[in-house]
Amino acid sequence: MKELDIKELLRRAEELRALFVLGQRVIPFLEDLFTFVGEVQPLLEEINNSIKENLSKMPNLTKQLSKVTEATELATNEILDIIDGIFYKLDILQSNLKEIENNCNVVDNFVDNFSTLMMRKESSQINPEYFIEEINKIFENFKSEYNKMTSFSTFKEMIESIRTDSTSIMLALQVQDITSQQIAAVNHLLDTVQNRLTKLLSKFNSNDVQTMVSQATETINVSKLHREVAFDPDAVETLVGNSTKQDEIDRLFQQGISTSIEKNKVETKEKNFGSEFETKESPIEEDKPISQSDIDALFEQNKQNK
Amino acid sequence: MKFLVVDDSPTMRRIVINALKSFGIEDIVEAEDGQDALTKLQQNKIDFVITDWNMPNMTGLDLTKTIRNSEQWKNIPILMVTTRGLKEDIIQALQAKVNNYIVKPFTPQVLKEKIMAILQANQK
Repeated sequence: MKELDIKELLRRAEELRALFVLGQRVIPFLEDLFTFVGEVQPLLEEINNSIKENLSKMPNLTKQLSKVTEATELATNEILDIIDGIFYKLDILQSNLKEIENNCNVVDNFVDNFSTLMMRKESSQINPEYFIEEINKIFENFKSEYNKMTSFSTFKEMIESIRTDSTSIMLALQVQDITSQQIAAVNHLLDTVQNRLTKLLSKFNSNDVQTMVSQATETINVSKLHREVAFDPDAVETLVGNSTKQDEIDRLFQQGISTSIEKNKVETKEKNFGSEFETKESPIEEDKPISQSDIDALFEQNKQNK
Repeated sequence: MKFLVVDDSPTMRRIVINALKSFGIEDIVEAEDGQDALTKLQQNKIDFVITDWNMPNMTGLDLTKTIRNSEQWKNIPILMVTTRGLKEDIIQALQAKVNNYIVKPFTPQVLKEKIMAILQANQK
């Protein structure tokens, strides 16, 4: 019985030893596993945040592209309306020119009548009193016909109007620059999203997860389209009520925004600027687009204070 | 009087140049960004600069700062024509010593008014 117990004890001891050997081999693996899980956790959080962040940008992209389409459509319609107007005015000009062309015989008639009268006078067929009466009639008639066929004021008006229309087209065409900036902004954002996701995926197998997590993508406001387009992400906003904004900027120039300038001066820590501005209440809110008249007012204030 | 029109958008350059020509200004040089503008400034005797803000390589703001820091060009009038209409932008432009500022889209009339205002102020 005792022999059996000792044998059993030895067998159990052997099993226990094997277990310790296994434990010794497994511990480094478990340590690696714990380290891996510890490293992967921030990565997973980063992926989660990145997806959330990128998804939150998508509606904004859609909105921006929608604004581009809207702006392009508005500008195109505006240009087409102006062109319709130009065609109408050209039709009027053409019809006036045609009238002039048809009435060219007015001059011919005048010359014919005048020369006939002169010939009759030369050959003494008419007396001087009658001659004067006749010549007055011929001139009066010519003057009346001439005034009928030419309305130069209409020509002048039409030309001036077409000039104004061309200016309006020029204004509408600026939408090309504004919308290209907006598209560049969208393109840039898509590139950024793509780059970040690519980086995340490429780093997924890397041991150096921690370094990746803290990496942030640098934002440069230049996007590569058919050419490099530098952009203002809110460019298309300038199309809405631009004239009002310009007026506000002009007003700002006149009134001065010294308080904001002073504040900005402190924030930017730029020396030798802004001290000449008086302290006044700023009529403009921070980070809000302002109009041309406000800008003018600001520059005017700056000039006066120099 | 020689004008330098700086904008990375060829369309905008053309629009500004067309407007200038309609005012009777024919002597015009164009540049596609701030760097190009500096080259053009070196090659020509420029009397007036009209510049965009957002441009690759060198922005209109940096161009303005470079011009104002140059002994040779510091007195050249600069008119900024841009889509940037935030107050902070305007202040930055003022700090860089831009002479005046127009928000796109603009009418040729506004452009003319600003050019005339700058020229008149410079004459005083």
